[in-house]
Amino acid sequence: MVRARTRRSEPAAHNELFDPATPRTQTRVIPVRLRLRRALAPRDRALQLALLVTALAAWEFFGRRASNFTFAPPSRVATAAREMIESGELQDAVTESLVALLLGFTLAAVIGISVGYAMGWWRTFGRTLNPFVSALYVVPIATLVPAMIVWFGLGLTPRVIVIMLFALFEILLNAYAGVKNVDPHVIDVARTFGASRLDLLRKAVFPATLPFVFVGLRIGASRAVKGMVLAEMLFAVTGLGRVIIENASTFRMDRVFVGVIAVSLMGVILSAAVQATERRVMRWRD
Amino acid sequence: MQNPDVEVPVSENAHAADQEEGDELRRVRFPTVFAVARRANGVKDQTVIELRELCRTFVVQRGREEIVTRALGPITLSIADLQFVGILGRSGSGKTTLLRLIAGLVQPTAGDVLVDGQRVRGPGPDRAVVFQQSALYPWRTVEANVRLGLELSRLAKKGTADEIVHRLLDLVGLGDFGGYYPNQLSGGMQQRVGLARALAVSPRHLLMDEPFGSVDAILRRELGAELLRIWELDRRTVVFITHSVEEALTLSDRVIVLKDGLVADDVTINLPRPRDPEAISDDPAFLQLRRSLLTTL
Repeated sequence: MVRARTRRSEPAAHNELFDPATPRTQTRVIPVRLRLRRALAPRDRALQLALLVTALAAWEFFGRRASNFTFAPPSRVATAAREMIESGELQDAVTESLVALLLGFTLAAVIGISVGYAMGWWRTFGRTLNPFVSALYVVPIATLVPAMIVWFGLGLTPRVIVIMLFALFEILLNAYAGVKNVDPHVIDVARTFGASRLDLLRKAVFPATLPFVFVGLRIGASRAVKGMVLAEMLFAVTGLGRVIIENASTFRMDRVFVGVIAVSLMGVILSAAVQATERRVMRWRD
Repeated sequence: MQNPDVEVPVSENAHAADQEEGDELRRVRFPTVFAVARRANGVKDQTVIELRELCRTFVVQRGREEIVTRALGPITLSIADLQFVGILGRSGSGKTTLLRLIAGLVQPTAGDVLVDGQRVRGPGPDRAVVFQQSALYPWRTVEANVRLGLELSRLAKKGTADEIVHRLLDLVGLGDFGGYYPNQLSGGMQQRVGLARALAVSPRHLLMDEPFGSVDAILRRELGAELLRIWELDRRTVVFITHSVEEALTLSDRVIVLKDGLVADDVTINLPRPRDPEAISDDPAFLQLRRSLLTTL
């Protein structure tokens, strides 16, 4: 928020604040009601809610006017979702997708961070590998899918690998960039105290690169979800991808939207989890 | 000037008592005892930092040529024990290069740096550095920043470390700010933390690279006065880089002027100690030295 928080409803306090005889910095108690309102209903939150309601209303309005075979209003999507939860179909699909997503993302994080760090730590290794990594980065992963099927079949393995490949490079390149961009003073300080190589990595380089690593993880998380859906729709027809494809072929648009929303929610939740970890780990930033 | 916290008389007995405490602890807790003991043994004015024909060049490649710049030297110098030496020079005169060479952060292109008779091969906690931009670790609290050197150099056990950290934070007047993060402090406070962090490892020598270069003029003078107070309590060799003539004169026993990488002047400052930065700036001797240094610069 760029604009300063000025509030019109405090005329009494103002007089005192502007009085040069009072200290320049003062601490004042925020009334409980005001604090609650700021925490629960800040202005942007209210606007966001309004936007959401408007969008849903518009969707409902046009959805009811359109044919049932091509479109579905939110009310029917909600009903479909309830049915699918009651039959257990949705839970099964989400579980199926989630297992692959988490496996693939974790694998990408582990490989990406370790290779990225290794490339930054051993400069020669990094410079040698860099052009190859950059070349692989621009290969569209979808072109590799037929080969994946030939090598690994249609089970969980190729899905996990596709998800991993989707997320890997963002994580790897950000970790590499992080190590290369550590403030030289941070290194110098540790060196002047005679830090061992291991301590230099643990206590100076590692915390200094965390912001970069988390940027990589956040982008990686959203790409992992894309990879997951691609794999599920393109070859291993299963999980939420299957929910979407099969229901589209029978024109059950309400159920298609349930699948789309479930996928989006998974992406949002994974991203939010990464961000929550980031805030916890990097407390010094607030 | 002796540290009032240390009530150990300088005698053979005190020395023997120290011996039992173990080497690490003794160095951390009673640095002055050593300093005074060194003096009592009649080794006053002993050379502790020696530069021999020291030279450092930097190479930048540009197209089909490369440009070689002699950043420093050749320089031959001796710095005596417990002296406060100001290195004065304009931007690009090689001050920082000189400090980084003594610190062991860069290697000489030619010549040698000897500290306590040993050739410097790399950095070490015997020569702590206070950097220009404080260079605190933003992810560590003030306390944890001050503890950093103790952790990395493995000089003190956990309990001892906490004690040292608190003593130093009190010393620099930040006793109440141990739990803060650096970005919650003002620039002057950050520099004080930087100083405490360097002092925590009880370095034999303190290297300061324009430590007060990024604070306003008034605060700079205040921090200078504080540094003098701390140094009087607990003397050690200080190499202090600055581009301010007044600052160099106020603080130092000796001012070395660097110009184009060479020693342009080397002046002993015999102004009485302890010094009051306010009063000293009106001293006629101070004004005369100031004029002459400004001319050399």
